[in-house]
Amino acid sequence: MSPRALDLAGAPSVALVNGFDAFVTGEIPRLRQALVARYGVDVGSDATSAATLWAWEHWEQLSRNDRPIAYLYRVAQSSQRTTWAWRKRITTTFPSEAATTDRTAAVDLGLVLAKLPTNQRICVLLVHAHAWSYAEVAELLGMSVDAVTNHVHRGTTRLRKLLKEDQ
Amino acid sequence: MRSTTPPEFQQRLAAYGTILDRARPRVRVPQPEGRTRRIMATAITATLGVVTLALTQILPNPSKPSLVASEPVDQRMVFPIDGPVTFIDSFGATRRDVEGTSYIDQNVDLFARAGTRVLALRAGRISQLNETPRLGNHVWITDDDGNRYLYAHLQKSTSLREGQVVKAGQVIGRIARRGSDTAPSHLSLGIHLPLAMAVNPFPIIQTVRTGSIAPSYSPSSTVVVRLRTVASGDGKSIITGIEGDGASPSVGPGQSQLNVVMPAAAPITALIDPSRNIPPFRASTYVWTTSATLWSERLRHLPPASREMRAARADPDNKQLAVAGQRRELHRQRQAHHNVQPDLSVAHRQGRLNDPSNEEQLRSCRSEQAIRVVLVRRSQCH
Repeated sequence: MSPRALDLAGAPSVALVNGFDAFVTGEIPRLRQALVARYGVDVGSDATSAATLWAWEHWEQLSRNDRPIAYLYRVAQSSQRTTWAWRKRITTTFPSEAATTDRTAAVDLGLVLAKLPTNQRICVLLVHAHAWSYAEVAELLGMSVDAVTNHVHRGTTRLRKLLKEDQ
Repeated sequence: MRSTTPPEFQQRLAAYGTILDRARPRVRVPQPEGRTRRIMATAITATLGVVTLALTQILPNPSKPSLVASEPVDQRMVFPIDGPVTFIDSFGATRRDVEGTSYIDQNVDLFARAGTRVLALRAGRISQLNETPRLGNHVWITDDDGNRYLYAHLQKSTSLREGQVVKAGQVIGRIARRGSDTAPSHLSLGIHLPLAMAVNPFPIIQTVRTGSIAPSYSPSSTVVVRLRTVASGDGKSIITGIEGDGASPSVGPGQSQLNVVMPAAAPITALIDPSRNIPPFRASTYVWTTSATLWSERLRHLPPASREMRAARADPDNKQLAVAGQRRELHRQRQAHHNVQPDLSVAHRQGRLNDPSNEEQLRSCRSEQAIRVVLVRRSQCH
């Protein structure tokens, strides 16, 4: 049951509620990082909200899962997949690099990131921008560590090439 | 392979990670119409007019640090127009921009004479100054709770700059001569919550204007609210209104259906008796946090008139089109009806609905489904 659902037989379990709270505090920000890397800020944030709602509704099921964040990542993907036809019109957007930093890069990283293939972008951002380990990314995406290593390598190589080309 | 990435490039990516963490969605992501059962169920289960409860979120949070450490948090809210003004609840209205594209307006238009001073509704920091064809010159102000306030159709100002801290009531511009190509001079005011979408500013500014906001409301205090149904029927209750008791945020008029004592820092679910017949409505889905921070919000509208219906109206003599239009209209009504059917699968799964012939049990579960709220503490929002 969801930790906060009205239980007609009694109050919700304190352990369930605390577990959910800890999960929201610790894991949802990381899930958001992954979904933002996947879908961009706008859709990624929305997907995070949808996944959080799902987690709340299915907390008991989720709390038994060995890899809850990976499971929620799939849930978020599914929730977004239902809107694929409609979302074709929405481009994956990333914030400008210059908006919040002083550096005046010749080419904005936010623009170039959108050109990367999806898996390469996710791996590069999670490993280099958010300091995830290769194993954590592999667990999230359901890949082997070697595959993640390849994606990161190819992604960074391609990213640097794109940055140089655009200069 | 890891060593092939130069350190400066890694630093650049790491800095960009911080930007991504802080980035907030700039546009609301609309949901497609009538798609999955899950979205429909969500639209029912968490359907609440918590638009109004957003008010509590933008009220002071004593635990949060000030924008400027040496100054106390400016907790006031000031009506944003300094002069005669006319406004109605136009949130969610369908509009057309200068290019003829249809869109849902997420702001409330406050009509006033050109040149009227526009004041900051709440203290914050200017996060964006921009000019677009749809919004004209506009200002985004972010308060220290992360809420973003949009003031659009302003005259061009050279005195403002991004990052500037503004106080509640500070002049941030004047209303432009023309709001847009089709509307007279007005201010478009929008309120967007952190991590989430637009909420209806109307009840908030209306409350601010009437001065009924409690100045010392604390999110952790107990709030007595009255939930108000605006759509009901057997198993179709939709709560869209909430009223305060004077000491807590008070929003909008309405007939109370149920008094719920709701500790703002604790989980809440409540039951309501679906007993009123209410006119058509727009269902809304909100996931509401303890301090009324909305995690997500999906506005669901009744499906718009279809192409067949429009064609039938344009050519009333064409019987073939008329039949197609009627068929489509019937489907539309069914779809709209289906949108308000409660999803009882959760109750089934949880064993609370183990006897479908038990009317009392069924009614309880249906009612619960209709108003369930998700609460997450403010500190857990990022």
